[in-house]
Amino acid sequence: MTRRRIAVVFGGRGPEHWLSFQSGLFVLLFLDRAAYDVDAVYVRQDGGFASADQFHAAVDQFFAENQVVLFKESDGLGDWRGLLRSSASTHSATFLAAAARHTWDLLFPAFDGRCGEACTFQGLAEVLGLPYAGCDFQASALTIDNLLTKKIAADAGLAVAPYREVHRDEWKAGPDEWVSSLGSALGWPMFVKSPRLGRFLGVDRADSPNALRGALDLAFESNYRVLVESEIRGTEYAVGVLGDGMTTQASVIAEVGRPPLGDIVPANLSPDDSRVMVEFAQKVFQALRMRGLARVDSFWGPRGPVVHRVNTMPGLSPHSSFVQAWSQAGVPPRQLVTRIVDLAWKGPWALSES
Amino acid sequence: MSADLPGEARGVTRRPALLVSSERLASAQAVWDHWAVFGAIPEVHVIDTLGRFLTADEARVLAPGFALGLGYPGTFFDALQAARLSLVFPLLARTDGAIPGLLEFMGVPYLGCGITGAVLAHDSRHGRAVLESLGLAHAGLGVPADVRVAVLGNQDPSVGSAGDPEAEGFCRKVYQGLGLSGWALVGAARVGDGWRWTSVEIQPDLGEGSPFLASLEARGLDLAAVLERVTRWGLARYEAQASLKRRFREKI
Repeated sequence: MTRRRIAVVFGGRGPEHWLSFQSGLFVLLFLDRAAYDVDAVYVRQDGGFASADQFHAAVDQFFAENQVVLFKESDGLGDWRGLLRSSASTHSATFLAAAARHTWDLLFPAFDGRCGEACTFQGLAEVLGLPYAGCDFQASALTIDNLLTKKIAADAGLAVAPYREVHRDEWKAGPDEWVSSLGSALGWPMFVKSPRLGRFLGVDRADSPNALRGALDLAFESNYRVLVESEIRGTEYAVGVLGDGMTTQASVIAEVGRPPLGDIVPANLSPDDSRVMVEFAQKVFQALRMRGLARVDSFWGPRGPVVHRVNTMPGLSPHSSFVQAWSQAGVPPRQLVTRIVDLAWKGPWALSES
Repeated sequence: MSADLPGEARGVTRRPALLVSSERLASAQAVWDHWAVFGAIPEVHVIDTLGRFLTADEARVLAPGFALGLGYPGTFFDALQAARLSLVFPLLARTDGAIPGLLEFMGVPYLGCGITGAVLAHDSRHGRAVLESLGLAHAGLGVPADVRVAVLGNQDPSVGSAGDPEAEGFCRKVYQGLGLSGWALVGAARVGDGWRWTSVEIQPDLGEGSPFLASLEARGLDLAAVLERVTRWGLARYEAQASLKRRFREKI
């Protein structure tokens, strides 16, 4: 039987290029080499596909500039630098043409970041008709937008924070009326968010009409539609979910912390509350028709969990709470990467193959 | 009229391209007749009904009367890999947003609807939920459209004529509610006292008897004027996205 070949694709134009780079190296290190041939496909910051030499240079630069530990002694990786060097592919510089010839059986995108390649690479894979790991194109495209995530979750009967969608032309036509109606509907303080940006970018807290006016003016400089939502007073939790569209598995729960403190794994929740939070995260995963992997973040509000956001490609490193939460659930990095790959083979293309 | 492309595109002679599904060859011919809008003669890449991207020789067999623009080497993917496309205009019978995804990943400007709008227009369940949250209800399965209104633009779109300003305003709201850009044909039916939407086509047919063009001609807009606007808006969207990425890269 011919061994199957996987391309791990990472880097890219996005502002979180080096986070994606780190995730890509993590997947390269923990993919099961006994089962698969593995190629690194590194996308440079200018968007071009890197040659093998450029990949080697980027690896050297990454470790020279960052004190990064990608694994523990107990992971038993041995000559990990040699493993990375041997992952360089002669096809990477001409990735698109090579992928169109089906050089690879599976693509593993490790792109992080909403302003980067999240969801666009999945579009590429769909057009090529190649299986890929992680959430499918549609779910990736919808969940990249916090406003759409809330609407779809609410439509499925899941709790979301009270919110309003404001369009630029409506705002310009009557800012005073909007400030008044948002204050009445959502209460103070409230958050003004660019729907497609990350956890902290493009988010302003407004605790007065003047602050709200300033935050909306700023948000409309780069957005046509803006999400304004009530503050949820409660702790935020993250649950890692793996699923194939039919069944789901959940990690232990992490308590979400603000930088530089980071997340706490495991979260300090009672067994009953933990069960409620995990079931809620799994419902969110299914309502958004996700598959593969995701991190589902929810607040524990006065009446239970409230959807905050989802991330269809959480950062992968030993320090990421997603990886830690799975490790504490008994799924160490090698098993985690293997499970993500196994789920990928069960995608919609499995039907056409059979 | 072409955007500046990064990386490997430098030093390569770039051309616009039409990406056409075989069912939309009549649309492609209509657009081709106005190629000057794109500033250079486009390559024409054809996708057959099985979803295969054809070489120029294969496309010639499929479309013998459509010879112009079929003098390039390789396939659409080879053209993207060589970074020789300055702009892509998809003219497809079906789209779920994957083609815009591919083009955004490759950093190539394109015309017409963006990724999220295309996904919502394609995914009826999620599209309905999003529009219902804005008070824009679907008419129900099988309800025929009373009007079909062309909508053009990115965030502040203009509408074609349907002979009913209320219906036109409703269709404009549907377009905005789905976050569409470029152009679309929105169908609506009168139900009781109000309007409900029936369909959203983000790749309207431009061939003979096109309801999309008829709706715009009633406003005095011919195909050349429409193409000029859609091209301008597509490039403006590309520039806006590139600018946003630069700003956040600096911020991070």
